Amino acid sequence: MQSKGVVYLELAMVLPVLLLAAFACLEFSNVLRIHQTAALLSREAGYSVFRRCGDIDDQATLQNCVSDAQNALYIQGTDILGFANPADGQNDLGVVISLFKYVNSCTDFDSGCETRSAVAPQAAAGLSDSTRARYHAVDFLTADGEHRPLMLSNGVVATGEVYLRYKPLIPMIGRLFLSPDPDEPERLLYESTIF
Amino acid sequence: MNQQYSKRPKDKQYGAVLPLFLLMFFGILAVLGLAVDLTNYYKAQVELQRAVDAGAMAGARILIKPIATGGEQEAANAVASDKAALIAKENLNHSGYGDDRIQVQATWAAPESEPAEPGAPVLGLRMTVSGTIRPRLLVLGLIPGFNSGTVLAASAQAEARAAIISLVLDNSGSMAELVDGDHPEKGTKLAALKIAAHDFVSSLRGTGRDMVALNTFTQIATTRVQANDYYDSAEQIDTQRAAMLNVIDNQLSAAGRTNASEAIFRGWESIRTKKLAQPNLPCFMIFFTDGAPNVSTANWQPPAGTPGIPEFPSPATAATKWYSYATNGEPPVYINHWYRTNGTDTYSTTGVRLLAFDSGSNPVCDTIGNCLGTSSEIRFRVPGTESSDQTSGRLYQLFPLDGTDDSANLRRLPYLTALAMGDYVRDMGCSLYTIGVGQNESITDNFYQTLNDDTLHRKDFFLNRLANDQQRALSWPDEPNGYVRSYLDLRTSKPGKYYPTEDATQLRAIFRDILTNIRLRLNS
Repeated sequence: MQSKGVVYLELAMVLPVLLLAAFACLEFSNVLRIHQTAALLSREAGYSVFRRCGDIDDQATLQNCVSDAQNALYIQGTDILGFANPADGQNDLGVVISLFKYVNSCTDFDSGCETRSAVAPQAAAGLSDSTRARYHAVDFLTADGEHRPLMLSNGVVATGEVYLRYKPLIPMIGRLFLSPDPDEPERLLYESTIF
Repeated sequence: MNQQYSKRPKDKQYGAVLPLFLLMFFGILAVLGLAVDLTNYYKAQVELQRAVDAGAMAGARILIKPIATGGEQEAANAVASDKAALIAKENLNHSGYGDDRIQVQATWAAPESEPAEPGAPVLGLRMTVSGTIRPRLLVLGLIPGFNSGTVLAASAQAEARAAIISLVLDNSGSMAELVDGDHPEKGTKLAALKIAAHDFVSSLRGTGRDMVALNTFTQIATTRVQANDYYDSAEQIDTQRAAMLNVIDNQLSAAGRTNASEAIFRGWESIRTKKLAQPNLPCFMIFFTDGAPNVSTANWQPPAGTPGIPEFPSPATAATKWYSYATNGEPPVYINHWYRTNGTDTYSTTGVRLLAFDSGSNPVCDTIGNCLGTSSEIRFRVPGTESSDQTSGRLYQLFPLDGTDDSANLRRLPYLTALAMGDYVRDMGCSLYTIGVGQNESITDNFYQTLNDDTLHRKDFFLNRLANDQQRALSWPDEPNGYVRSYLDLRTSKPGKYYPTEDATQLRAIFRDILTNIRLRLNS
């Protein structure tokens, strides 16, 4: 009886640690899967809009092209994530595609650059300010924009940004794998690719 | 084992698990840490590849821009290299890798004059971006020297490819109509086409070694500018492009009917020798039309002085390449467009002729009325390359007709011969891009001029099928049970792309998109 009690006691001490390790593995692989999905989608988003819309000069046509690409990527994303209906994923997936360009061959940003820009969706609901500030909220065309050098050199800049809501299997453990960000209580994973 | 346990003194079991676990705990932690490290390792690899891909594409896009000639072009290409590296670096920075962990470099290369080795593709202007990255390693990083010594590498090459391109442009009578009757300031469809085609050809000046031919068609098709040769000098290529621009700007007027089948035939003929001489080069036909085909080469009379139509071999001959129509019942009716002799493609020098056989090689009809007049439904049969297809083939239902519209009945042949010709062009290794300009039904009540007439979607389906655009077919909103997709040639033919628009002013953007698709390819 005495030895049995010790075994139980030891088990009680060890089991939580083992379970923690096991759940951590599960949680980690889940984070990784979501992360990879976001990375894949962001690459495809940037790639498609860069190829398909980069040569369009007309503002309205450009906006339509970018919006079409955004819609297509959103549907593709919800399909990958397993939503039966794309609309079901609206709280969990966001795809923001942006394209900025010069329509004339200007070399000096401050003189004579005729610009176009298109962002879809226009309002990136759910993105925190700190996340948006990384690309989306930065206007490539503004004089003091952080990414202005890219704009100047290429004439066309396309970004594909994806945010995915991560739902931890065990919230306490899931938070360990997400960088603390007070502005993102909803734990959105974010990936972007710039072309 | 049980015996062993039973022999152990019981008091030795006390406290055995905890020390053991404490020992193992560090092992477990190490394994977990290694798992995290491995994940970071592969994640870094993916992020690096993504970054160099983006850089290569961005750089190659600058490469394909025509920028004068000579030294200016080289300087521009060098700038493109810098920017390719900048884009790759920006992506890596954004993924959280500081400059101390990454190295990126980009180089451009001039088009090859000949394949690097026999049979290899001839490469065009290309941008190569390569990079290295030191991933963040938690556990392995504790080992001295390991963290700094672990470097991942990746590279990507985007190519502004040399291609064989056949432009096939419709200048039939309806091209003289306004793009939008409510907005005459938008001009005519022909004017919009001229702007778009001019822009397209201009973009092919100054770079690359594309072999490009220009064809136009009404009820007959004409090769207006022959394709240049791959080995032509830059000056020769520039002169040839200038001739194209002259035709586009000054020699196109709208008149006549729409012979799509002969247009595709001429389009193929204009690049055939080039494709056969350079089979590794990608080959594209860009087919533009604003109307539905309303005349086929079967109606076309051979020009005076040209050889007559040669005798057709039996369709049962193994070397024969034929396409067929089938009425509702079997056996199918075969219609010869061309044939092969001793393995070599031989064409009727006068184009396509209607001559139909039953499956027993017996001629059953030789006129449109005889061959098509009695059926309520036309199916289109395309034999594949496999011998079994020679007898069974693949059936395509073009569209059901009610049989009361004589005009529509007569149009069956133009549709089908054009599709047959398109299938053949793809069989020969070329991709088809089709551009369909329609008019909104609020503007015209002529359903042959709309893209999406209320009932049959004839032109839309025709051009989708002609291009073999499988992606667009998937998105057809109102086709039950994958109707369109089921009639695409999914097995052997190259998929192409169909661009529909009801606004001809968008043509310029469409042509540019096609050029990007043709010339910019990522070879990671």
